[in-house]
Amino acid sequence: MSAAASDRPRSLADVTQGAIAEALAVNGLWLDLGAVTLNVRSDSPVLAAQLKIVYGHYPFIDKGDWADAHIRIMQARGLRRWVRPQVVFYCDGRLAFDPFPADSPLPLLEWGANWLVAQRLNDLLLLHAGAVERDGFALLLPAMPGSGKSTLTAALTQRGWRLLSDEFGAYDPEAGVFRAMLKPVALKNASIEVIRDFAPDAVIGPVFPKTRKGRVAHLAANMASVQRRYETARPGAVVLPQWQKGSPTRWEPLAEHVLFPALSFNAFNYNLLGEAGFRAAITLVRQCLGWQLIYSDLDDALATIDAAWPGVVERHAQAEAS
Amino acid sequence: MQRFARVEGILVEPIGHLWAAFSPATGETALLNDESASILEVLEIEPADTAAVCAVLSSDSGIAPDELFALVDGSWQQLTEVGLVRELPVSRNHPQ
Amino acid sequence: MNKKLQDPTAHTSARRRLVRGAFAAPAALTLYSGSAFAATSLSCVAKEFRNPTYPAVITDLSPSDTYLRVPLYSLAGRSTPSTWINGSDINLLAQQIPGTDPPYITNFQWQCFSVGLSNVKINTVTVTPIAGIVYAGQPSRISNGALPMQNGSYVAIRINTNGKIVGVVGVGVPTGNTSAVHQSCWTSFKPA
Repeated sequence: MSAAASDRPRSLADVTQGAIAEALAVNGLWLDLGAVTLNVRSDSPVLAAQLKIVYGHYPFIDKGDWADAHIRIMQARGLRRWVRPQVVFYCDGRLAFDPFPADSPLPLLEWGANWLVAQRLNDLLLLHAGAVERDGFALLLPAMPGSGKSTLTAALTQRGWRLLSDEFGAYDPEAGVFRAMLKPVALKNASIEVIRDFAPDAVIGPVFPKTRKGRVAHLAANMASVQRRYETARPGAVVLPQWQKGSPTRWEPLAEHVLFPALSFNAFNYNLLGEAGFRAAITLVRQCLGWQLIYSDLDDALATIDAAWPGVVERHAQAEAS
Repeated sequence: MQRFARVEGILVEPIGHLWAAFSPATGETALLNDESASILEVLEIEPADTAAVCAVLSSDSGIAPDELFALVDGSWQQLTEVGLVRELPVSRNHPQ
Repeated sequence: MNKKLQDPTAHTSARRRLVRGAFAAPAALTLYSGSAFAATSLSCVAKEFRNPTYPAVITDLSPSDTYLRVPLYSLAGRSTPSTWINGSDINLLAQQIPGTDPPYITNFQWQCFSVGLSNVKINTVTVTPIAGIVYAGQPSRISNGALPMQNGSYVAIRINTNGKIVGVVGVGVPTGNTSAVHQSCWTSFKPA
């Protein structure tokens, strides 16, 4: 074993499924997402295997000092343990949602964790956006319905962009940076095959066929994104994506008065933060360049973003120099 | 005539050709045009009634105060609802 | 767009920006309470856990009757028409839902959704429309007085956590045919 490999903490991919299951059953598994840490306990017989795939590069931590939320995914009691078996989601000892099919603890964990983060992490302005990083700057993809945000975010991470989050643009107003809220990217329906075709080597977990959002599968964050999850990113640019069937790629600059509501409108806790949220949104409008991207071809969309990015970096460099 | 004052602590920032405004009183955020933002700037000097605001904006815009009156007078309700201005109690020193 | 990254301490005066000889109706558009849409998505997600049966997923990207929407009107100009939202359409929608607070726009007001290349008349005033601004009357063409006509497109309306209609999705985006919302979560008028 090389020195580098021996120094690296063991990941979920490095340990056995049994070790993960034991951690889940006893003190819990700590999932360090960067800006937030979750403790997950579970008696589900299938969750360990699912986590091993989609959190494979995360450090295996079965004894942690702190968790922002304590989650339990437990098999339902009584008749529902045996008849159309279910799992239930508890947070900090309280039942948070109604049951979910027993073979689908992973999507329950993912959506439930998103819910908790959006409720609790109010020292950050939480934009509902995909967030990726390159050259030290964050690219935000606000999540309007039908935008194809997750597909685009997933594709960018397979082409050299570091994943910060596919759900939260987590902006720290005090530090003026974006922080990673690193979790697997939730792919839905046709986007699962789109990403499989786009990146055949990408690690995608099992497909859950019958959720209310349709088919769902989770793209694992790559090793580089996991290892660098504490690295912050300065505000760079905002792209409002809009997937339109058959549309040629259109790349249109966004004026500030469009960018501002797009950011504040898409923040989970903008209202809760009050003045701090307003000031943070104004700061982001001042600092971020913005475009609307209308596309149908994913390769072309990525090429368009890649072509614009050096200009983004250059503009920020000029601003800092002046 | 009724006088209006700018609500304390509001934030008004230019965004492109519009303005974003935040009211700590209501927690609301609003988009304003130049005209609404101008009214707030006039009130930043001191509380005023519609006629006084029109007199100031007339010199800015070159439009006669009586042509501005209906527009300015019609804006108070909206600006009040958003939490950016408040109506002052009528006092003896300022006849209605 | 080569936007200059602005010094946050620079002060711009609205009064200095007023155009000599023109004064539009002062307007204040309350932005949708920013958290509510995202929270609506989360509420809808949370509701998904409460129903262990699986209804059909909407995959059709065309607008359908499940959307909460209002029609868009075009006002033809020299070439590019401006598009508008009629306050009475929104108020009609609000009236159908008991317990709803009055919307951000009245029956007599019109909101510009996207700008065209022409000025318009609103009441007796010539106006250069600004996308997103609510105006105090129905726009009409200056040349012949023509009124806005429905153009077959729709926009989705925004509601806040109290169930009040406070804006529209996509305001200010000058494309005219955007913002039909595709997900069933939008049909919930009062998110949990």
